[in-house]
Amino acid sequence: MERTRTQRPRQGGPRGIGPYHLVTRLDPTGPGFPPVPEHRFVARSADGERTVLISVPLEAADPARFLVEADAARRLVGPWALPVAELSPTPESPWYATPYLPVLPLPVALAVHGGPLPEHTVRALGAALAETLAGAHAIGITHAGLSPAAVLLAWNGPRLTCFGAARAAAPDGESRTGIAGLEPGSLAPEAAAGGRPRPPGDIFGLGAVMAYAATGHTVPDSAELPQSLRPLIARCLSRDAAARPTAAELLHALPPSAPAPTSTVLDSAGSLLGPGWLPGRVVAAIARQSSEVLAAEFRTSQMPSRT
Amino acid sequence: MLLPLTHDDPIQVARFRLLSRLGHGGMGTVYLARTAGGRTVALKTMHASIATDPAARTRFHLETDAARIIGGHHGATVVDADPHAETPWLATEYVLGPPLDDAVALCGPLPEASVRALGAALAGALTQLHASDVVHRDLKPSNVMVTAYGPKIIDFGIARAAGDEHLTRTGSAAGTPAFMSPEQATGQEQTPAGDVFALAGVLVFAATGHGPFGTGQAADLLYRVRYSDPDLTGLPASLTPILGRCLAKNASERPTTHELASRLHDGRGHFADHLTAPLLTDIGRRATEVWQHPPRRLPAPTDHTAETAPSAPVVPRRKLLATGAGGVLGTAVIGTGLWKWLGSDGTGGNGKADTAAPSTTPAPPKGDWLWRLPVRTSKALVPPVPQTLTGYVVIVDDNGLRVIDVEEGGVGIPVTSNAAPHQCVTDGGFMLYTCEPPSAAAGPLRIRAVDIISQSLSPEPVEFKEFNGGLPGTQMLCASADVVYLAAGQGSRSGTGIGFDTAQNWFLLAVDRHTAKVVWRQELPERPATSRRLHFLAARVTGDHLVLLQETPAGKVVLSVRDSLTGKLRWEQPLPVSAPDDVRGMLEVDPVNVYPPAGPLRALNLSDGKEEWRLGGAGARRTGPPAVLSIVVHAVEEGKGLLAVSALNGEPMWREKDGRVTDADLRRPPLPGLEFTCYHSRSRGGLHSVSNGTGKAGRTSRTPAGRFFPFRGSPARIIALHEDSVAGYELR
Repeated sequence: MERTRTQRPRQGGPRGIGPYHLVTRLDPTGPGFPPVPEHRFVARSADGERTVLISVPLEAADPARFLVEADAARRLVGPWALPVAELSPTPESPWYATPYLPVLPLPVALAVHGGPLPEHTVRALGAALAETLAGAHAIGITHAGLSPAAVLLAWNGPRLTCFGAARAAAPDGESRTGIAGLEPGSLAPEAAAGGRPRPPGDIFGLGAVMAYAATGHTVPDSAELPQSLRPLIARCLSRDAAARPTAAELLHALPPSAPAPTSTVLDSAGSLLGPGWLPGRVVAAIARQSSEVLAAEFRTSQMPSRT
Repeated sequence: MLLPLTHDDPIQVARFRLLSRLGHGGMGTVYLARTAGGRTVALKTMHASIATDPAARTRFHLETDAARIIGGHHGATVVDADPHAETPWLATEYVLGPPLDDAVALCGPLPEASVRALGAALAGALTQLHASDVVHRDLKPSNVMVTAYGPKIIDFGIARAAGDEHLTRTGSAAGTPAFMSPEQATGQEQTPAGDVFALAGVLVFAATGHGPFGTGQAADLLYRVRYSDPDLTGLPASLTPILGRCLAKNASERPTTHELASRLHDGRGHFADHLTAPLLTDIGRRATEVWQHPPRRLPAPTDHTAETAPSAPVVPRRKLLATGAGGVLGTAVIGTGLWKWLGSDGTGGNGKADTAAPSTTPAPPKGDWLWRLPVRTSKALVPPVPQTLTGYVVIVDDNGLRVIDVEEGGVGIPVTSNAAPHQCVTDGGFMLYTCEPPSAAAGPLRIRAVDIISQSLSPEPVEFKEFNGGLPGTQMLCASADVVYLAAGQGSRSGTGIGFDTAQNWFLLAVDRHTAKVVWRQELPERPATSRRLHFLAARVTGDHLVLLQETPAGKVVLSVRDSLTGKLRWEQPLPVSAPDDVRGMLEVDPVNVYPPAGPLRALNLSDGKEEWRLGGAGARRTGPPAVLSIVVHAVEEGKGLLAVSALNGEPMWREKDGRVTDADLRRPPLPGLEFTCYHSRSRGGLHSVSNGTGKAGRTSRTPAGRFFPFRGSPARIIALHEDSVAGYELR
C-alpha cells in the first residue's frame, strides 16, 4: 500500500488501488496477530457496482514475483480456494483481486471467538485445507504460502489465499528466515533454508495452521493441543519432510473417528462444514463485516477520476 | 429471497439503482438497491397508485419516522427516505437474518436460551420505542428479523405515536389477530402493555411453533384473544410464569418491558452464543448470498401474452402470494368457497363464448373485457353497485362480498361478510365498511371496518345497541375519514315486504368507527309495512357536505345536502324522476357543486342549492345523467352523442363528432377517462369511446348491455354489471 501511495499522491479522495477505492483493511495489525504476507483490503469499483478483496505486496517484496504467484494462483481450484479474478495490468503497481465475500482471517476468528477454536472446527478446517492441497499436489502444484493469515473463514468453509507467499518472498536458494510477512512457525525448515517449496512443506504449514486454530500458536506446547489431534499435528510439524503425512492421508485422518453416516471419502471435508462448524461469534462477525461493507459508501463527489 | 427484477421495474428510484426484488405486496415492492457510492440498501417503495391517497402517504411518513426512532440497533438503520415523492420510498439497511416466522419454519422451535435472549432484546427494543411515545401495535413473528447481533423490529406500517389523533383519523389498522392484545381486539387504543402482550405471543410462537391463541379465522382468533386462556403447550416450564403474566387479559397485570427483560435474561454472553447452529448458518448464508447475486431482470412478456388478455378469470399469482404471506387468516377464508365459485364459472377457459357475437362473426377484437366473473342477484333488494377501493372493486351478490382485483379480475382480498348489496360501502381508498346483520331477526346494529392495507380482514364489528341491525332496510350510504353514514332503524321487523313498519323509527346516522359513537342522527320519514323501497338511492360525502338522493314514501326523489359534521339540512329540492331506480347510484359531486342526475344539465352549489349554471339556450337538447371528471362535466346529448362542458360555468368544451342519433342512450351517464370518454351504445354493440377534446370516435369494445361504472382510480377501468356477471373493461 505504501508503494501505491507514493506512486499516486493522495488528492483528497479515498485511497485507491488500480480502478478500486479502498473500503476497509481486511487484517488488523498489532501485537498478537501473526504476520500477513501481503496487504489485503476490501475495495470497490468507482461506479460502486463491484466490491472485491484486493491484495498488494508488502513494501519490501518483489512486485514481479508477487504477480507471477498471483497469476499462478489461478491454477489452485476447489471449493476452498479463493480464485484470483483480476490482476493488475502493469507490474509497476501490482495487485490482484477476487470478488468480495464476507470472510475473517483465521487470527481474527480466534480474536472474536475469544481464544482457540473448538476441536471440531479445527478438524473441519484441516480437512478442507487438506482436500485443497491434495488436489493441488496431485497436479504438481505446491501452495507454499500456508500460514494462519492465509486462511480466511467464510460461513461455509475456509478459503485458502496467499498462494506462493514463500516463493515470492525470496528466490529459491536464498534463506527465507526473518522476511517480513512470513510467519516463521508456518514455514517448513527446508523452505526456510532456501529450498524449493515442495508439497511436504505445505503439510508443515497446514500443521501449523491447525495448531494455531487449536491453541493460538503455530508452535504450540504439545500439551496445549487437544489430545486426539496431538499425534497428527505433531507428524505434520515434523522437521523431517519425509515423516509428514500426505494431504490425502490427512484428509482421511481428520474426520472424527465416527464419521456421519452420510459422509464419504469424496465429500469428507464438506460433510464437516455443516451447520455449527463455526462458533456463533465467528458467524456473527462474518455477518457484521458483510453488513458494514454493504453500508459502506463513498461520497461520489470526492471520487478521484480513474487513471 | 433475492428475486430477479421484472421487466417493468424501474432502473432506478431516486438515487438508488435497483438490483433485485426482495418482496412484493399490496402496498408496494421492496428492492435490493445500491447508491452510486456503492451502498447497498433495502428500498421499500409504495405503489404510485396507492400513494395518491393522502392517508396512505401519511402512514408511509409515520412508518419512516418510527423507523428512525427505533434506530439501527433495534431496527433497520434508515438510510434515507422521501415520503413526498411520487413513488414514496424508504431506504434502510439490508438486514442480514431471517424473519422469525421463517426462522422457526426452517429451524424448528427455538430452544429456551434463544427465546430468552430474543425476548430480552425485544423487550429492550420496546422499552426504547415506548420511551419515545411510540407503540408498535403490530408485533408479530414476521416483523422480527433475527440477526446474529440480536433481533431487529421492522415494518412499522401501523405503528403510531400514542394519542396521535391524526393517524387515527387517516385510518389506522387493527393489527394481526393472532398476536393482538385483548384491548386491541376490542377496538381500544393499543398501549405499551398491549405490545407486551404481543411480544409474549411472539415468544410463545418462537418456543413452540404456535401462537398462544392458535390459528384459524380472524373472528375465532379475536374471540380467543379476548376470552380464552393462552395455549402454552410445549413452552418450557420455566418460561410459563413470566409469559403467562404478559398474556394477562387485564393490561395492568402485565409486567413492564423492563421487568420482562430482566426476568428473561441476565445479559450474559453474546446474542450469537444463544442461537442454534441452523439459525446461524442461515444468517451466514444470507450475509454471503447478497454478494453473489448478479443483478437480473426478467424479459418483458411477448406480445402473444398481451393478445390473449381476455381469458378465463384467474387469480393473480402475486395476490395469492400476498394472501399466503398473510398467513392462516387468508388460507382459512379461501377454503370456504371463494375458490369454488371461481372454479364453477361454467365458461371455463373459453369465457368469451357468451359475451361475444354469434359464432359466425369473427372473434371479437382485442379490447373486449379483461376479466369477468359470475354474479347472481336473485335475493338482492336493489341491484348491486360496485364500490371502489384502491386497486380493487367490491361487489356484493348472492354469493356474498367479493373484493376483486380490478387489474386482473381475481379475488384480490378474501373478505367474508353477510352484508346485503346495499349494506356495503367504501371510502374509495382503503376502508371497506359493512353492516353485518345479526343471525336472529333482531340484534344490535353491527358495523365492520375492513382495512385492506393491513389485511385485517375480519375485525370485530362495532356494535350500536340502540338500533336493530336485523332490519333489512338498514342501508350503508357512504364513508369518509372513519365516519360512516347510514340509514338504520329501531323497532322490530314487520312480517311483510322487506320488514318496514310505521311502528319503527328510522334515522340517518353518522357513526365514528373508532369511538364507536353515533356522531349525529336525523329522523327519517316512516315507511309503511308494504314498502319495498329503501330510503336512499345514492349518497356522497365531499368536504363537509353530505349529498343524498332520497326516495320519499310517496316514491318522489329528493336531492338534499346536509352538513356532514352535524347532520343539519342545508337545502333540498325535488328532482323530476319518473322511476326512482333510474337514478340509483348516480350522484356526481365535486368540492363545490352537485350535478343532479335528472332534469336539465346544471350545477347546484352545495352550500345553498343555488343554480350556478345550466346548459343554456332555447335550443338546448335533453341530456342524460352527467359524469364529472376534474373540471369537465360529461353527458350524452339527445340525438347527438357525447357533450363535455366546463364544470366552472357550463360552457360547452367539445362535442362528439358525427354522433349518431341511435347511439344516444339518455339513461346512463358516460364514463370519462383521461384521454377517452366512453358510453354504451346499443347500436354499436358495445362501449363506444370518444377522444376527449377532439370529439373523434375511437374504438368500440364489444360489450353486452348492462350498467357501467367508471373505476375511479388506477388503472383506468370500466366496471360493467351484466345480467349474470361483473366484468372489467379497459377504459381507452
